[in-house]
Amino acid sequence: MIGHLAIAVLGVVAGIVFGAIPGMTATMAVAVFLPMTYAYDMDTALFLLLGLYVGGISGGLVPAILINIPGTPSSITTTFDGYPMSKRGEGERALKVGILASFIGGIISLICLWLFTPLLSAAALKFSAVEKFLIILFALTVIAALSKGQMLRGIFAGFGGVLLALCGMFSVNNAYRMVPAALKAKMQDGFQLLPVLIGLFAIAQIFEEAEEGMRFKIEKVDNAENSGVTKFSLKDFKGQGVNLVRSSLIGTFMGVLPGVGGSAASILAYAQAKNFSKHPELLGTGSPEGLVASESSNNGLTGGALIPLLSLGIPGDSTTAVLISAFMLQGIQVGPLFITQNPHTWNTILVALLACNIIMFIVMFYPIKWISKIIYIPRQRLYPIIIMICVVGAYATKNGRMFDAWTLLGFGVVGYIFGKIKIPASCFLIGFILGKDLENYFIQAISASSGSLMVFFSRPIGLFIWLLIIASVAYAIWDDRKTKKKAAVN
Amino acid sequence: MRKTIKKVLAMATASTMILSMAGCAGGGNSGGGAAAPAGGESQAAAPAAAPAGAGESSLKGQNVRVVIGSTSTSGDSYMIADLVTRYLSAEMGFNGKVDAIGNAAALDEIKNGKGDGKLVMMFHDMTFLSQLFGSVDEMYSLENMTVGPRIGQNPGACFGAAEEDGFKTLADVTKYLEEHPGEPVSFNIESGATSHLAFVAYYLYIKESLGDAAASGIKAIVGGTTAEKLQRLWDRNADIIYGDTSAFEQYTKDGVEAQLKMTMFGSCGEVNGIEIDSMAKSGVTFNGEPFEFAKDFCMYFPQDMDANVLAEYEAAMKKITENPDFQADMAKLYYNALSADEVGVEASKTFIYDKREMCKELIEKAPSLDELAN
Repeated sequence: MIGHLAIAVLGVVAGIVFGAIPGMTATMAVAVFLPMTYAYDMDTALFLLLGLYVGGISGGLVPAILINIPGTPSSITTTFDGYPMSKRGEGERALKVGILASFIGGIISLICLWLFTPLLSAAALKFSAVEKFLIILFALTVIAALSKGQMLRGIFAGFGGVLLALCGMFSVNNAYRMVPAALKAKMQDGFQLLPVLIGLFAIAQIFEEAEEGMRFKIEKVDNAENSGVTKFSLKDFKGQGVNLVRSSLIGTFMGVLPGVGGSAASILAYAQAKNFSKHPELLGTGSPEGLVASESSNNGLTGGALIPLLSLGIPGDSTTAVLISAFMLQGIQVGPLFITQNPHTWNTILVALLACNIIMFIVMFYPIKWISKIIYIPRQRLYPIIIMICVVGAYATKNGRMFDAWTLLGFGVVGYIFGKIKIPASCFLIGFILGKDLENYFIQAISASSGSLMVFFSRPIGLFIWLLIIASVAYAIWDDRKTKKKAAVN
Repeated sequence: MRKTIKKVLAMATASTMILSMAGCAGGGNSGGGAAAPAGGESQAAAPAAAPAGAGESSLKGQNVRVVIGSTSTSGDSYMIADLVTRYLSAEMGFNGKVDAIGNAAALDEIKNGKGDGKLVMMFHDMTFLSQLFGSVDEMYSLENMTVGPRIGQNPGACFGAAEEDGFKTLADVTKYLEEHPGEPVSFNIESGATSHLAFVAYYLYIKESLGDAAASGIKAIVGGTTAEKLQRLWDRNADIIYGDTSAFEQYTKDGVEAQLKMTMFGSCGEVNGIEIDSMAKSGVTFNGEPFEFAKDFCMYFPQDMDANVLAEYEAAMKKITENPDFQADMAKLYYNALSADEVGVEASKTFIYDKREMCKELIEKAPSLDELAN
C-alpha cells in the first residue's frame, strides 16, 4: 500500500506540473506516462494514472489564478475571478479556495462514481444527440451572462468563436471549410484548442502589458463581498454549500455524458453560479463564488468521466480515452460487465481516486503560499519564460508542428486587437470550445430524424433543457438591462 | 529575504520550463496529444516487452521519426507502428519513435521530407484512400512517395447490430433486404474511411444480386467516433454500425443488458481468436471475387528515398516478420503478421497499387454517400 501511495504522489505531482504548464494537459500527462505502466501490475498502474488525471485537472488553476493563463481548457472560467483576486494581492487566498473547491468536487464525484454508477450510466443512455446538442446550447448561454453591459459584442464574439471552430475538414463529406488551399494539410482538424486558448489569453495579455511598460501593481480593492479580506479562511466557503454541490454535480454529470467535454462543465457551472448568485455583479471581478463553481465542476469531472468508461466502455473525456489502453494492456476490458467481473479492480479505482484527491489537496494546499509569490517576479523576467513555455506547449499540441506555434502567436495578436476594440475574448473562446460539439450533435440529431427540426422539441428531457435555456437567456437580458439602467443613473 | 525568494522562484520557474520541454519531448514521442479513439480504430495496448538487439544498419545510432496518419495513441495504427518500430529499432540499431500526427500532416511530412530513411510513415489504406476520396490533394498520391515494405494487417473491422433486431450475420441483413424491398436499413459509417469502402461494396453487391428495390433500402448515416456510433445503435437511430471487433466484442457477451447487447458480423477478413463470419463468407463479392478488405499497413517513404537504406529496411522487416516473438505480439493484438515474401518492397508495391486500383474502381462504381444518405 505504501508503494501504491508513493506512486500516487508521483502521479499527482507530475500531473500538477503538466496541468500548470500552459499547453500541457492531463491527457498528455496520462499518455506520456502510459508506457511506464507496461512494467506495473494493474493496481500500481491505476494509482499512477489516476494520480496524473487528478493532478492534471487540478494543476490548471495555478497559472489561471496567478497569471491569467488557463493551464488547461477546463480552467478558463477560473481566470474570470482568480486573476482579479491575484491582482488584489489575494493570490494565495484564491489558490486555496480553488484547491479546496477542487478537492470537494473530486470527492463528490467519487461518491457519485461509488454509489450511483449504474443509475448515472442509465441516465447517460437517455441523453441522445438531441439532449447533448441542447446541453451545449445551454452552456453557450454563459456568453449572455458574461457579456453583461455589452451583450451585442459578446454574442458577436461567441458566434465568431463558433465559426472559427468549424474551420477544417467536415467529416461527413470530407470537404474543407474556410481553409485556404495552402493550409489544407495543416488544418484538416482546424485550429487546435490549446494554441488558440493560450494565444488569446497569455500572449495577448503579454502584448498588452508590454505596451504599458510591464508595471504590475497590486490593486487593493474593497468591495461588499471581500470587505478587505485578503487571507484564506473557511469563511470563504460560507454560503457556498449549494454552489459547491451544484457545480460538483454539474461537473460529474457532464463527465458522465460522453463527448460533451470538460470545458463545457466548468462553463455551465459558472453560468449557473452567476444565475443563482445573490451578487451576480461580483462574479468576474474576483469573487470566490466563481472560483468555487469553476474548480469544483472541473474536478467533479474526474469521477464522472470514469462512469461511462467503466459501465459502458465509452470514455467520458479525452483523458479517460487514453486510460482504456492501460486497461487493455492488463487484459481487462472495460464495458458493461466490468464492475461485476472485476470487483477488485473496481474497488482499487475507488480507493486510488480517494487517495489521489487527498494527496492532491495536501501537496497543493500547503506549499501553495510559496508558489503564489510568482506574481511578485518582475514581469520582464517572468514573461519571456512564459512565452517560451507557451510556444513549446503549442508546438507539442499535435506532436510537434510549427503551425500550432504560429497559431498561438497569431491568436495572441487577435486577442490584443480584441482588447483594443473591446470584443470579449472569453466569449469568443467559449464559442470556439463549444462550436464543434454544437455542430456535431446538431448533425447527428438531424440525420437521425431525416432532417426534421421538430426532433429538438420531441423529447421530455429536451423540453426541460429548453426551459433552462430560455430562463438563462431571459435572466441574462434582464440583468444586462438592469446594469445599463444603473450605469445611466450613475 | 525577498530577494532570495525571488531567486528561488526564478530557479523554480526555469526548472518548470525545462520540465515542460521534457514533457513535450515525451508527448511527441509517445503521442502525447492523444485524442479520443477514432471510429474504426481498434483500442488495444502495445505489448510490454521490447525485443533487445544490437542491430546494424547505416542508420545505427540515429533518430528515426515514424509518423502515422492517426492522432490516436490507442488505435490500431499506433499499436502496429509502435510494435514494428521497436522491433526495427532493435534490428537496425536506430532510435525510432512514433508520432501520431494525423493523416494530412503525415502525408505532408512524407511529401516534403528527405529520403534518407530517418522519416517513415507507417499507415494503412487511408494513405491512398484519402487521395481517392479527395480529402487530400493529388500531390499526396502514391506516385509522389516510395512504397516500402508492408508491415501487417488488421482484419478486425466489422458490422454490428442490436441483438434484438435479429441480425446475426450479414446474410441475415441480405435476406431482410430481399424480403422487405425498400424497407430502410441504416448503416452508420465514416466518409472516406475503410468503413465507406466496405459499405459501398455491400451496397453494390446487393444491387447486383438482388436489384435496385432491395438496394434502395440501404441508407447511410455518415460520421462519428466508435462511441458515437454505439450511442446511435443504443438509441436505435442506426440499425447497423461499423467499427472494430475489439470495441464491439464486450457488448456481445452474456449478461449485457438488452439495450446495449449487440451482434457483430461481416468482418473484413478472418480474425484470429474471434468467431465471426467475414463479408466474403457471407457471400459478398466484388467483380465476381469474394470481397475481403482487411486494413493493410505499410511503410511509406519520401519519393527520393535512398535505395540502399530502403533495402536495409526491407531486409530488417523480412527478418522481423519471421520472428516468432513478433508474430506472437501481433497475434496478441488480433493482427496478422505477414510472410517474408509479402513484405518485400516489390511485392508490397504491387499489392498496394493493385489494392488502390480495386478501391478506385469501387469508388467509381458506387453512388456518392450524399445519394445513399437520403
